[in-house]
Amino acid sequence: MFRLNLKIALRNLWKNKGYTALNIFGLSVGLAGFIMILLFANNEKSYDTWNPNAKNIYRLSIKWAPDEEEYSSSPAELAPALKETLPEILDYGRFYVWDMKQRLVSKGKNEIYVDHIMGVDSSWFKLFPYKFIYGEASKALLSGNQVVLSQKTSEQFFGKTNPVGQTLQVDKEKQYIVSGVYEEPNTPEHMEFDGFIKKSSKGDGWNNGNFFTYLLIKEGIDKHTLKKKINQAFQRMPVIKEKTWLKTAEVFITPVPDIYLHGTSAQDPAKRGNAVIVNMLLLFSGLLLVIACINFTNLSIAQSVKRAKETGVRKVLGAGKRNLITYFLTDSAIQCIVALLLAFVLAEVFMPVLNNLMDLHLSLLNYENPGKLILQISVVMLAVVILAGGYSSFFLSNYEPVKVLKGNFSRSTGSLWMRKTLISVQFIVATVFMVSLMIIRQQVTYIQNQDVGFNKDHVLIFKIRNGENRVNFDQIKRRLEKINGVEAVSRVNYYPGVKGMQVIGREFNGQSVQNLSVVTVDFNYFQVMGMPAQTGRVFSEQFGTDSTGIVVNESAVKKYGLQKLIGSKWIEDRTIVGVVKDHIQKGMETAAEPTAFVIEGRGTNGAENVVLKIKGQHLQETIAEIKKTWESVEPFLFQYTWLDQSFANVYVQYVRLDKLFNIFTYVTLSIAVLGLFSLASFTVQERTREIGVRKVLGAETGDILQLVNKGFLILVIIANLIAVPLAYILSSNWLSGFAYRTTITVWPFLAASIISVAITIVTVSLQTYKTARAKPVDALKYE
Amino acid sequence: MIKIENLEKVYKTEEIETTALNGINLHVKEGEFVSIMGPSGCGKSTLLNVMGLLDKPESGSYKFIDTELLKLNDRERSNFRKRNMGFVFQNFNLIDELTVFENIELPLIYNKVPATERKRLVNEIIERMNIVNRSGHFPQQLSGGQQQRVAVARALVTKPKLVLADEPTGNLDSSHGNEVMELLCELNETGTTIVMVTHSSHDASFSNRIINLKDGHVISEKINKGRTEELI
Repeated sequence: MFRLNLKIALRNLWKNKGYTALNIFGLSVGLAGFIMILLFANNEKSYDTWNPNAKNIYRLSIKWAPDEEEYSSSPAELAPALKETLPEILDYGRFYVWDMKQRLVSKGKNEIYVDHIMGVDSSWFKLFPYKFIYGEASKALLSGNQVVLSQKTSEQFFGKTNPVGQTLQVDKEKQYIVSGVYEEPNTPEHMEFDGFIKKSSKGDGWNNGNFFTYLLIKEGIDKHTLKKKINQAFQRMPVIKEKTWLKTAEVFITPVPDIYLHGTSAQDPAKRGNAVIVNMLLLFSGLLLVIACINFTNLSIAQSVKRAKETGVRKVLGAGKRNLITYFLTDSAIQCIVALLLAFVLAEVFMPVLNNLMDLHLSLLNYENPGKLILQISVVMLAVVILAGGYSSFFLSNYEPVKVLKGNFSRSTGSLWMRKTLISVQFIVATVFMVSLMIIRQQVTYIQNQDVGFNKDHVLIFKIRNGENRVNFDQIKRRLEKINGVEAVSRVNYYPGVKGMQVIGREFNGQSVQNLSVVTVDFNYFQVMGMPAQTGRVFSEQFGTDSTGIVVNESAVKKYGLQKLIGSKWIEDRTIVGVVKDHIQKGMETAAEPTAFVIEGRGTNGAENVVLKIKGQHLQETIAEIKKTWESVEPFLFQYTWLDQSFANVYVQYVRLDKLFNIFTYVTLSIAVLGLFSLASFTVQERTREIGVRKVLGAETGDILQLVNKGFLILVIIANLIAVPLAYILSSNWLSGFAYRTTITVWPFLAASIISVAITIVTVSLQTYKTARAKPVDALKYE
Repeated sequence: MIKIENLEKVYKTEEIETTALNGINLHVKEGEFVSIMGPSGCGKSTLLNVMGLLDKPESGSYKFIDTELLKLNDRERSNFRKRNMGFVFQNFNLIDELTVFENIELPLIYNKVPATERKRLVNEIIERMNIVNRSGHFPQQLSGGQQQRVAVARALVTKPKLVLADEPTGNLDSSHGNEVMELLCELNETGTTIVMVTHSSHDASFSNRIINLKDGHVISEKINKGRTEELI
């Protein structure tokens, strides 16, 4: 029976090649889109899952006071003290913020900047059990001159040979002996590591909260209980009695696999994904697939008229309903499987587009977790076969044989309603997509044209790698300023776009000054950045006292009520020199924070980035000159970035989202049009006789087009009525995540509605035109 | 009123050509009731379709009063049809989604008759056809005879000069069939020209003239004396 069914199904599909191709293609496009997003989402959700301990490892973060931000670093003393009192803690590993810097590693003449050689505790590999290719994890970080390299880093210096025992020079000073090489894990990690050394500090007292701390916890301990216990233990520590300001602190814990997508702390060096975007894309790709299934159903039913007779004959010959359903499901399943194969090809072919957009390196062919993917896709396929084939099988098997054989298989109201609902759902989704796309585009344009509060054009940035050059910067600055094309030179620690920030809490006249972001700069910083003073003036070398002065932004003035204090002393005995406009530092999600600028000096952080404002002409010559000058001061490789490029990173994900949505919308629309086309063809087939009668009675082509269009337009208008509020809720929700956001106007909704109506009229008219123009006798003969 | 000369119609499929009408000549006078008879496939329905401008012949001439209809384009054909012709089909061809009233109203709408006038005309014909109490019903709710009455009413509501009927009693039992034939006779008596295709010599006996077709030719023509005398 199955073989017979298969044979008939295949012959039928072959007989209706055009329709089969359309049906399979529509479904495979939906499937391909879904598979691609699935790969992306799997990748986003796979962070740190290589580590079998991951779910039992928690990273500590701290809020020093209830109204402060949560910091992902903490004092070095915290972890050992907690381990002493809490038996649940099996081990801990820490790294020090000042060990995170980029290092120049050299072996002979081979010099390479390595971004992420991390200084960690020697226990690190108990928490993060990398697979060692050479050397032994337990002996790899016993002394301060050992270095463990990732396989990739090792190969850059030693090729495929075993480097254990060989030496490397770091930052032109210190020699390290390679003690091990590990294989990079097959899933991404929340921190990037190229290698490990022992951390440079054992701890610096409770005042230095710059250690990133991970705890390995016993299996089976609940997160909330653990957090409670940690805070209780913390409050019982003897240090609380000495340092009363610690009393208000609260410790937070984040399981390692959650850091990437669900981390909440500010000032986090960890890579951060955007869970909202991942879920949004999953939702939309799911919808795309549903639309493709609906389409499949509609196309199958549209085609069913041709198979009604076959069904009738089968029934007369004794086929039961179950036989018929199995038969039609076989038919659908064959098409679904072919569509899946085609979808794999499409996904692999178009994967580079997604990779390019999202800055990824995903591929179906060498996917790291094929088992999981196969399982996911199998489940989805089962759902697709049932969703896409189920209704049409039911519909086809339900024909009454006598009616069918007599040729009377016209509409039953129930099935017509079902199909109308399906097509409406397609248009609801398509309209939501169109509106979302337009609003995302509007927001991205808004972000890109937003007044960022500084001039990001032609500002060159490079890093000072030797601390002494920072202290004696003035002399070098004079040399740089003399270069033709350089307009101004300064230094800064956190230039716009850098998400890290020094945040201080002080007191002034008995009033608390909390959450003040502090940026360390050099003279001429505001000239380089194009940030003129709104009130007072910016720092100037002409005023000797400015080196202990302070410039604040408008938000700081507002928050701390500084209007009357400009020109007089404020916190740390600093005189407020002037006020500058707010600028965007971290991105469009965060409103401008109260910020103060100070000149590097005693008690401030170091401003280790040189910033230069350069004239637009003769860029190459100017840069070559800067490089020459700088290399005479620092013997490292000269590497620079442009401010506008590095700042673009704060909104790059939205630009990507916009592009991705663009593709989504067009694909969805095309599938919806395909669905509409098929339903229109079905409707016209069903109404051929009616159209003929109307023509006999005097209807003209225009009357017929109007008649058929009317039915569809009602559906599309209803779909729009449902889609508009839905799209409004979705997009206003999404926009509420931005501090800087565009306002929602009526236009995207109007435009999407008009587009959907126009598409409907064109599609339906194209399909109806032939029948409407035909000789009435052909239509009447149809019966 | 109608002058048909040398009419030819060929049906082509991929493999064969079938000549449905092979040099037909036919004249119909105003007020006449003509029956066309013949075996299946003789071309009688094709002839009726050509006369009703529902189908196009290959060659020949078809003059209605003084207009050569075969030279008209689609739009002109459609206009001519809706102003001058009414149709009655074997299977009634009523539109299932419309009520009796709406079905009858439809040709008036396509003739752009104003709404109040439409209402008057439809009510008038509904009364004449004796289906007043059915005007709100849908076609499926009526018997075959009633459905054909509605179809006849729909054909007549525009007061056409020519009514074309294709086996109007073919789907009806004999009593309902007779009712419809009597209706057509009454109509003819008020001056409407009727051309009817039929298998039934009983039905043909209601007409003035019977034309026999075979293989696309007119093979004989017979004046129905009884009926003609009656008419005189």
